[in-house]
Amino acid sequence: MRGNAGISCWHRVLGKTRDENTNPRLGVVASILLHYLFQRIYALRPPINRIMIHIRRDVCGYCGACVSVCPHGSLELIDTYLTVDAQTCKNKCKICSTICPLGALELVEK
Amino acid sequence: MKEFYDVLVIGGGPGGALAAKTAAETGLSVLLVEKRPAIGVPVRCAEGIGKDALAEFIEADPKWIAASVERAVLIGPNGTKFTISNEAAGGKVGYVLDRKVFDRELVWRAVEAGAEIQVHARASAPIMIGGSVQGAIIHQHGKIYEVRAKVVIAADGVESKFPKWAGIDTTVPLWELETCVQYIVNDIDIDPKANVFYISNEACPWGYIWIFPKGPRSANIGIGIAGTKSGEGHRAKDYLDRYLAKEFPNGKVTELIVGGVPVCRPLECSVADNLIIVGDAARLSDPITGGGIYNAMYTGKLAGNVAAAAIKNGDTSKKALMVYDKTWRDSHLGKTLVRNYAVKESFIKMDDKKLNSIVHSMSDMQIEDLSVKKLVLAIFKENPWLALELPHLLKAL
Repeated sequence: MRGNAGISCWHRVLGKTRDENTNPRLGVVASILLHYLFQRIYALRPPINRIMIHIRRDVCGYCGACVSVCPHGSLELIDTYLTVDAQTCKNKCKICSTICPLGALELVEK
Repeated sequence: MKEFYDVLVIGGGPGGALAAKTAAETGLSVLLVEKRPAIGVPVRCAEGIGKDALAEFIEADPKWIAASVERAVLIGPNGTKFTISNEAAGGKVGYVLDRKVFDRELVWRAVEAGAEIQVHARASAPIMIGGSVQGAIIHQHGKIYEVRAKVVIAADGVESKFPKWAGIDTTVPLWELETCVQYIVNDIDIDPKANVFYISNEACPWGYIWIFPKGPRSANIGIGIAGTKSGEGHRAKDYLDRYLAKEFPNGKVTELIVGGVPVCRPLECSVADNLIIVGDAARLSDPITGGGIYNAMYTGKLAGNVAAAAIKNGDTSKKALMVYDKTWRDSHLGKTLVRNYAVKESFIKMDDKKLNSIVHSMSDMQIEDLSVKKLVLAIFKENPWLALELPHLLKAL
């Protein structure tokens, strides 16, 4: 629903259902209207301040200290590559960013 | 990699290597998987071990011994020193190892005993049937293997995930994980025959700074602080950098080593159906020193033996494997862990004034026959205010 990509996408959907005799431009107009409508509805959504864990790869020493204290088991060290499971991570507990001996874990708002 | 083994060992550290070697020696088919491409690296260790402790498992070999130390020196916050000399410790203090070579030697011995080893092979999940572990999914070089085993030994260290996936909570409380940074520092003036422990709640809160010699002018210099004492601007690395700038401003750092050391109680139960947990994964490192090599080797070997006996009897249920849990808890190792945890609980939170007073009372002592019990009693005599800590300490003694 952003920019022209959204419009052309709706045009394709509406275009497929249109009758051969109708004006092909109707699909385009309808899709612009729909696009506008959805944009307005989308703007009314409640704000979500999602805090995400950002791993500074150039700082991480891949020691696994964070993995051992994560209460949700969301972190895993794959060889030397630290991963976060966004599904289980509660983001706000900050335990991993506190424990890190080097300061490789940051909490950033997205 | 085959589809079925008697024993699957996850992790190629000292615990995993001893487990694989012991199990293979009894004639079982054993697979050891190590997620890293090489055994022994990266090092996550200060590398100190007692001579007696090491001798229980392997004869000392110069190729993986970096230094032989004759005394341990405890330094209080104000610089007061207490030396445990060679004579007091019966002529055998300890070694500082070269873990990169040591770990390889241990794994090589497991291979010699008949165990199969796969590196860069990561266990990503247990195979669970009816709520019990039946093996593991192994990822290696972009391929996925299902490996089944009668017994799985989890030796996956401080970052242990395997037991967690199998339903055992191995999470270490934040305040009971020591967050550590260590440098190998070269070209410095040190006592090459002494392991130095510096305690101070200001310079290393709820932990200590260590200097373990790796040669005449080189040492592992590191720090561990409690997780709750760590944070932006005062992380383990910040504390260590401050200490180095003050004490060894001209030292040349050739290696950065980081890691976490659990100083919590061991897992409530270190076995499940077809699963044994050893070493750091079972949270068996010493709560006072943080040492874990011996404890991993001890429980690794025990796990290998218990797994072999259970497989021979055709019963690898939790009930059958409980003998592992009970044996290490009843051993000198289990008792030391209980005692040292209680002592740690009392001493860790003391401010520098109290720590000074304690180290001072120790430095006056003549200790011929050294034991923790005698040491604590002597400290107690000199520092009656410790009575406030009596409930904890009585448990320890």
